[in-house]
This record gives sequence, C-alpha cells and structure tokens, in this order.
Amino acid sequence: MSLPELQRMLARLVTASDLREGFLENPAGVARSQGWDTHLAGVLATVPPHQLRRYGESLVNKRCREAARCLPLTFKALGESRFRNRFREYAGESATRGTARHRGDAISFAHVLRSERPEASRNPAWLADLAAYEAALLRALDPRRWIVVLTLGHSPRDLAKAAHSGDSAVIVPRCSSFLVWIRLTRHGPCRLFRLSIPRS
Amino acid sequence: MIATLPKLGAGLGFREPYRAELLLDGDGVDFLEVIADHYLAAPPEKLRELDLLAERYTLIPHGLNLSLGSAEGLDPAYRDRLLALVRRLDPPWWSEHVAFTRAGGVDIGHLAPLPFTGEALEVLVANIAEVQGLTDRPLILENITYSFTFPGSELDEADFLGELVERTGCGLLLDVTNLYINAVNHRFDPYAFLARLPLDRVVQLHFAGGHQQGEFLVDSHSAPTPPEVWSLLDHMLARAPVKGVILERDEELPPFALLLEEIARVRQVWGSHAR
Repeated sequence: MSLPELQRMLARLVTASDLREGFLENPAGVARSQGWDTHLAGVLATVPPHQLRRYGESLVNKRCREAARCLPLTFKALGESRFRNRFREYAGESATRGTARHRGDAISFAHVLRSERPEASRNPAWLADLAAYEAALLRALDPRRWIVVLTLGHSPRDLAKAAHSGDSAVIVPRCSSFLVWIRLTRHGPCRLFRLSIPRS
Repeated sequence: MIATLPKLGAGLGFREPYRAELLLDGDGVDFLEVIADHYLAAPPEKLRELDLLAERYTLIPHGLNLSLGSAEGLDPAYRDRLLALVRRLDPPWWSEHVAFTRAGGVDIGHLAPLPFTGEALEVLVANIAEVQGLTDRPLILENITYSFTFPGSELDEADFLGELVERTGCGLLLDVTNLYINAVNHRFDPYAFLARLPLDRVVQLHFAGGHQQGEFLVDSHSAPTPPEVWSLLDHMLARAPVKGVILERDEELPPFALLLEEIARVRQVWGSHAR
C-alpha cells in the first residue's frame, strides 16, 4: 500500500467537501478524474462515509472556532449563528496554510466580510470597518511586519461598543480614523498610533 | 532514560485566559504544557509571556504540526522552528503526536490518523530519528482520537505504539480521554488496550472532558472530566511510572478554581498509589 499517495488522497478528501461528496458517490470516477490510483481509492472508499464526513466537518468547525477567537468583535457583531454560517461558506472555497494558519484564515475571512455590501449581506453597515480593524490587529501581530496602516470611516472605540451592544441596527457615528501600528525594533513591542476626526 | 526523568506532578495546558491567575498565583499547578504552535510565528510580546511563565513553571512544549507520520518527510522550516523553541525552553521532555497533518501540499489543519502498518512505522521511525539527531531533549508521543480507522491496518493501535516506542526509544504521552473516546466510538475495551501497551514507557498523561454529538463522543476538551476517564487515570497512575499529568481544557473555559479542583483530585489519586 502506497502510504504517500494514500495520505495525499486523504488530505484532499477531508479538506475539500465537494470532492469528498463526489468521491463518496463515485470513488472510481473521482479517482480517474484526479489521476489517483484506483486501487488505493478503493481502499479509501471502504471508510464509512459518515466517518469521513464527520472528520471533514470537524476540520471546518475547528477553523471556525479559531477564527472566532481571532475576530472576537466580529463574532459578537454577527452573532454565533451568522458567523458560523458565513464562515462555512468561506471555508468551502479556501484552505489554510502555514504555522500562523488560524491568524491567516481569520484575516482572509475578515477581508471577505469587508468586501460584502451591507444591503446584500444583511451585515451591519459598520461591520466592514470592524472586520478591517480586527484584520489589521492580526496583521500587526505578525512579527515580520514593521508597519500596518489602516483608514476607517468609524472610530474603533465606537465599533467595539456597537459590537458589544448586541444590536446590529445600532448607528455608529461616522468618524474618519487613521491607524498605524509600528514595530520599531524586531523584538520590540508593537505600538498603535490613532487619529480620529468626527464628521459633522 | 524514562526512569531518570523528573517527576513534575499535576499541571495544566496553558490557555491565555488563565495567564493572570497563573502568573499571580499558580499554587496548585505544578507545571504547564504550552502549545508550541502558538509561539512559532508569534510577536515579541507573546514570546515574553513565555519567559514570564518559565520563571514560575517548567514548560513542556507540545507540538501540533510536525506531522511525524508524513510519508513525504518533515517540513524542515517547521521542524527547525519547533526545535528552536524546545532549545529555548530546555524542558525535561517535549511531545508530539502519532499522526500526520499534511500531504501533497495540503495542510489538513488537524491531526489525521495513520494506518497501523509496518510502512507507517518505518515512516515514523525515520522522521523521529531525524528530529532526535537534532535535539537531545527526549520526545514523547501522544495517541490521537480518530473519526475513522485508516484501512489496511496490520496491527492494533496498542501494539503499534509499543513497537514504535521500542524502535525509537521515545516515551508515551497517553491521552486517556482520547483512549476513552476512541473506545466508545469504535467499540473496544480501553482496559484491554492498556493491557497491551508498554506501560513502563508512559511518561505523561493528558485528560479532559468532551461532549456527546448524537452517538458520537467528541474530544472537544470542553467539559469536566467524566467518571470513566477518572477510572482510566486511576488505573494508569497505579501501574505506570508517570512523571506528569496535564489537564487539557480548551473550550467552555470554567473559573480557574474549578480547574485547580480537578488538578488537586489527580494529585490525590496519584498520592493514593504512592508511586
């Protein structure tokens, strides 16, 4: 039994839900389309489908939990159910990599949320700025970064208040905000400089 | 080698929400296990947290993504970062898993099971030899939970682990909760499993509580330890030369005092066996 190929096949099957479902329905067909050894595919096809699905689901759930930890205000603003549902949509089209995978995953998810139009997504109007703020915070934690710059249409303090309010309809006053995170030395702390100018 | 390892006692898997309690008053916690991956690409502030903790506690680094079971070999960059952390902490031992986490350029993001075969043993032995050549700190290996058993196994898990530690000289990190969960989900007797395991190689134990999802038990580390796991702990502490026991609570974090109660109970059970 070729362990390298079995592991490659399994890694794809547990991280790509569409591929997994296709495989469970037609293992030989998917194996041929992927260029896999059909005998080895047959070996993997003996794994009970519900067990393979359960493992695949657990991977998405884990990613979601970690993203919620990295984006606590965004999680609070969306609420658990909407955060999880939206993350699951995002996770189906993305993969994680690297040592800081969860930080990277959260930043990518935050960018997706930031790009969504409130009227289409039913997100609070200020969610894009909140997600952008938390993503910038995460980027600033990357020790390879010396500087992170962000402009927002709201004050971070007001965004945090809104998230904690539990009311997605709350109005957050417009306030042009310019934030810079700077790490002056490689082993030094990251400092935040912020300028907010309320709009009348 | 195992006989000369220090007895560390009963401790806790370090979780950030408990940082203040552990730094200000960690009485009742003998040592900490730290998730290595949290410190491999961390900002300086996070690494300073490690230094502060190390002033008070012995820290055991617990790796998640070395992927010792990867047939395509180790990721040299990750290996070197992990071993740099091991050198930094200078622990009496460090730990990883009998699992793989990546293959073919895909990062699974979690521990995946291996088939209990001779081929998988060879892969593990080779990868472990590679890291053993780069550090003199003893490595101990943890059993994982698995949603599915990899087809084509030639051995049962206990014999596989026994063969693995015999060939590598590693110790075992026996997660009794993982054992219990696998036993329930895959219908085998955990005590029969333990009877086949080389108990003299068990250096450390993990324990925690999980939750039920339909008929399936999940190793969510999200609940108090159930009676069945306490029984397995008691069984192990009576029979194995365990050097450390770690409570692994990850989710639904309770007040710190409740964790201290569980750790105290471990100490009490351990003391009753006078090992």
